[in-house]
Amino acid sequence: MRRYSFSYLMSRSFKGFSRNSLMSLASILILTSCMLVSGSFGLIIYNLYVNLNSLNELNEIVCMCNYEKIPDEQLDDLYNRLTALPHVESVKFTSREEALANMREKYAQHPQVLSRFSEENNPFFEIYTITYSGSDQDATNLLFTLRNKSEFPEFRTVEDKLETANTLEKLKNTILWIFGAFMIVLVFISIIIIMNTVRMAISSRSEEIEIMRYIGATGWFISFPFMIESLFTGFISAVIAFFLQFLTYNYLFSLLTKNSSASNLIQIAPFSQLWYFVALGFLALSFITCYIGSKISLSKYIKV
Amino acid sequence: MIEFKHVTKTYRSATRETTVTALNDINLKIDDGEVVFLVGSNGAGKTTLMRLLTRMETPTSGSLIVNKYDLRKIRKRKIPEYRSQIGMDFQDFKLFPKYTVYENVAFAMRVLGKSSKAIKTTVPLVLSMLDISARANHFPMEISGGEQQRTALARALVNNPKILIADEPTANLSPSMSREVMDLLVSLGENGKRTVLIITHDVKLIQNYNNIRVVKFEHGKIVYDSKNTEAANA
Repeated sequence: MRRYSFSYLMSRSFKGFSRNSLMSLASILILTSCMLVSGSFGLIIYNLYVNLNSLNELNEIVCMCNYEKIPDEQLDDLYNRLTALPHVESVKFTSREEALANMREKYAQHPQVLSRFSEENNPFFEIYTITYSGSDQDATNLLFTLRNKSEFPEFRTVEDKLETANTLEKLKNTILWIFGAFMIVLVFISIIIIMNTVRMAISSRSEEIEIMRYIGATGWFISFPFMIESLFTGFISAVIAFFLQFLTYNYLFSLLTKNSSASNLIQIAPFSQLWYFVALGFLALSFITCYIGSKISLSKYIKV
Repeated sequence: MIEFKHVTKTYRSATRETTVTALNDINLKIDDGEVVFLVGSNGAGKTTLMRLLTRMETPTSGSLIVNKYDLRKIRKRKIPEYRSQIGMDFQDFKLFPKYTVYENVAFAMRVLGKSSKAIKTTVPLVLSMLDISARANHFPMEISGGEQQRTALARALVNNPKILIADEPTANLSPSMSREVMDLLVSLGENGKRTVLIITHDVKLIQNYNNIRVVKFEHGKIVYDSKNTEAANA
């Protein structure tokens, strides 16, 4: 077993990197661009996903009671029957008075809208808001039960947001698929770039490689510097892409958070919450693409 | 021992329409410690023979056994180990221009994973043996052709190979320097501890060395194999 000096091999790798500096620089620029594009896309997807997930009310069913006021003892019984149903996570009761108070609070700036209503003249009804868990089928079964007049004659209408939830779920899946496809294309491009860089590096040192082969160098000894060179290229690209990502994200974050109407509408995670995902993602992306790209080129162009 | 048994090597032409036979049914046996001149004009098959011996190529047919290694069947991972037993001296020296004489020679040891301590001990010894110690810190461009050849030889010898192959060692040298280098090469095999194969087309030069085996190639075939150098020149 030959024992190579690690420092010698590393010094050869970095010498090769500087000797091939122009091509290395071109690779760094392209890899950085690829990572920046994929990172930006990933962060957009992440924030979109978080916003879609924050729409918790999508797994809610709102049951409006009949016009006739329900006696208090029946309300407790109804509450108990609802909580006993399968897949029901919580039941929230809102009385007519609370519903009116809520509305008054909501339209506090326009008191005239609700001025003609009072506790005696209350247009609202008792409302039960049910939060459920489980599959779409579970939700459909629950709706079917609640809408069954023989089981729940107290309810006038039962409203759900299942369709909206399904549409949003499909949207989330579509976005994830697009992101996946996009990532595959970017990884593929990066691999091609690295393959080409390594091929150029090999061809610029073909005579040196030939001499090494004659002397009895192992494939590992010949390949190692090229592999380190390409991993180093990837690492530098990842570091540059990370800082550029940090700057662009923070800039956009501050722009959106300054605008109060935009910040009310959408929720954006600060970079401090995401930096390790971005860093790990870039490092993983650079390592995978550089390893695969150089491995392909080395096995193709370096013969023992 | 080196043994070629009915070795044929053919190449496809660039257009892949025809095949060229570089070596045709070669039978050759070289014992350990022999010094042999392999002579012939351009295209006679000498370089192919060298590439077969260094396992850069494999024979198309026949068998080639070198120091118990069957070069047609040798496993890929064993090839570097086999090559480390061969010292190669190239026609154009193939020295690294950015390395000094010392670094060029040390490189051959580093490739085989030798320790820094071993390198520091062995390289000066080999440089001194070949009388180029004074040039140790010079770059190849700063030394003469003969010194470059000696550096290349030092690199070939530093790992103490069992076989030394010199490919046209005098091709880029003046007549006086050619004689000097050839004397050196012949002397390296004189103690019988190392097999020395000298590939050359300079038959006039080898006339100076009687009692050394000469194998002459023509159109991929051996046409002469004897110690009588004059007959090879015929």
